[in-house]
Amino acid sequence: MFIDARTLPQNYMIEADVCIIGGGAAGITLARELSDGRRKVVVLESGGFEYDVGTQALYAGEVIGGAYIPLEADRLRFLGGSTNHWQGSCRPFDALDLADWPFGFEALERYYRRASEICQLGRYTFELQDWTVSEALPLALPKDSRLKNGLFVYSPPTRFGTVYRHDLETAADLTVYLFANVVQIDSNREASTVTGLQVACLDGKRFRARARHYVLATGGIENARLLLNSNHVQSGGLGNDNDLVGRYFMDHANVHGAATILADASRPEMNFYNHHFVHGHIIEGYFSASDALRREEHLPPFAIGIRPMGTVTQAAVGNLTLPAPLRRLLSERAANALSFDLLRIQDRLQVPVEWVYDRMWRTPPGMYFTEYGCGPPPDPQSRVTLGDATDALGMRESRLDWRLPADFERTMYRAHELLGQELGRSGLGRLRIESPATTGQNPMASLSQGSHHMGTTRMHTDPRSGVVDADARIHGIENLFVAGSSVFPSYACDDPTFTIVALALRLSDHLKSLS
Amino acid sequence: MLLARRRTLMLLAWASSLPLLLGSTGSLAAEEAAASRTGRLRALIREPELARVLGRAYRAQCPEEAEAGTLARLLWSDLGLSDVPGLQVSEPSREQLWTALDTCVRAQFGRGDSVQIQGWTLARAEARLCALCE
Repeated sequence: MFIDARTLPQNYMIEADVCIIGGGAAGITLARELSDGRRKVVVLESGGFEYDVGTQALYAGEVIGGAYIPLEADRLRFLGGSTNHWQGSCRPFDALDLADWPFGFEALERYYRRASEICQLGRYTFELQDWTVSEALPLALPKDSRLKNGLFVYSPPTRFGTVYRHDLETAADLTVYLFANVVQIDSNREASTVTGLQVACLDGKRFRARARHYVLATGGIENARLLLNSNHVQSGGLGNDNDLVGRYFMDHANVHGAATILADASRPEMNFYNHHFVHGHIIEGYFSASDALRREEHLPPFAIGIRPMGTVTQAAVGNLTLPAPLRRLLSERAANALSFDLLRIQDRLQVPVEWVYDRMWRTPPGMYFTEYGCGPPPDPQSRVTLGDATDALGMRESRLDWRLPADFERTMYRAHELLGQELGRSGLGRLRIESPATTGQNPMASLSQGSHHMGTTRMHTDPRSGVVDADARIHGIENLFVAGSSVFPSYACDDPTFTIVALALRLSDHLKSLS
Repeated sequence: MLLARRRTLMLLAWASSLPLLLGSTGSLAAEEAAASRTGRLRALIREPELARVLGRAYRAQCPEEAEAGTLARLLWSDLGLSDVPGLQVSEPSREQLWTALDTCVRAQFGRGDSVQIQGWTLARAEARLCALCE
């Protein structure tokens, strides 16, 4: 059942067994799982069914340090949360990705299987052979390759607020309160038990909610913000004994065009590393470092996709009016022989000379650029704190200081060098690094974030190293849990949604066991 | 394996004494062979003026290889065509040279023996071949 919280009486008291704060991927998954008639569940959702300017403005905050998307623009505050603009990319974390987690892949796999259904992926498989078609093949890599292939399977994408709205409407003992903003988490004097929530509506309505268990599921920035704002008992914020809430903020760093590739456009491998359809799903292949190389060189998890810039046609050669005019310097070809072909490309990138092997060019060569996505290691200085400004409900806004490691560019170029070597080994093509030093281009100007907010209430068995324990319960607080990517102690190169859903399923099992 | 190593050592010993044994005639033959080798490698590039751009960059990056004879010898060795510097053990055809180059380039990429020239990730043999066009 849905209730517009603005219709509640002033100072109303909501009572439940489990109170979930936030109606995004994590909150909705938890609500569906827990509403089996054995407990009373409520969801407090800030927004309504659709985008609302006033509610969205509650996301406003300050960005300091590195450039970042305005905080009110890179997430969505209505039922379904940021799944309302999710692109749908899914892949489970692997054993190495979970190396810093309190549990391994084995503990998570069964939840990934269920998450696969929830995210409408169909059959649970991420094996290359299950998503391979003759038109788009992964590059055959030798066993000792320093790279490995991977793939993302795309959800339709699942808009949780739309797809599961009927479930939320009809579930037993479940009530979703819309336009209900939690502004304070109250606790006992020892800050060991949450005693209730203060809730506000933008129209001035105030009420409270009380439950046996509470789950914070408002996103990677808001989870920290709400804990830090709940400072009536502990001045540093609830659950923040060790000054960890808000620290280790992580997001994916994406760079477009860190390298240009010239390759045989007729090879099916050139389709695999871009978005393509297989069995009705969008698939996107990528290159990443082998596990051995990641350990050996301490490389961050990365994924490199390949996107076409266009195909060099005979008509384009010598036509100086085209954006990337080419002059073919050699017309003679030696059948079954390796011969050098040199191209003068006076393209917009001001490249003086480029060359490739003629034998790759039985069909017109293709020009491609790389799409680099990276998950830099967690950094305690990369963090969410509270700014000085307050929002319309009187809560202090977030202040985000997102930091990248000093060796970010070095590892990015190293990843591309590895790719260049693999393309050369396989005879697929040649790769050119784009940088101020090599071609005068600065791909770092294209640096963008994934809008994947993670790490601010990181999971660790030791309260000195993490905000939540292995059950996602905040250390030292008996009845407050956290759901969502803020609990990730580390991450991979994937969208977090799939793992968020898996973790929510795991948490729901735990909460069921408590009741 | 041992036999092969022994043969290589014998060849090395023989080759190192070759100038003494042959005197100026031997040096001339070696020089002619080296010049021939350099020419045959250069002939693989059909647009040398373009390769020079990359080659110049490689020479600046690896000045110890800047001399043409050195480059040719290293490249010949890269291609597995001679175990002994200065010793011409075979006269590969152009096709054989291409095949050897292809094999060499793939192997060098496979073991990470590449260089970056003006941003391009090239197998070392490719870069040396360009540098030979200078």
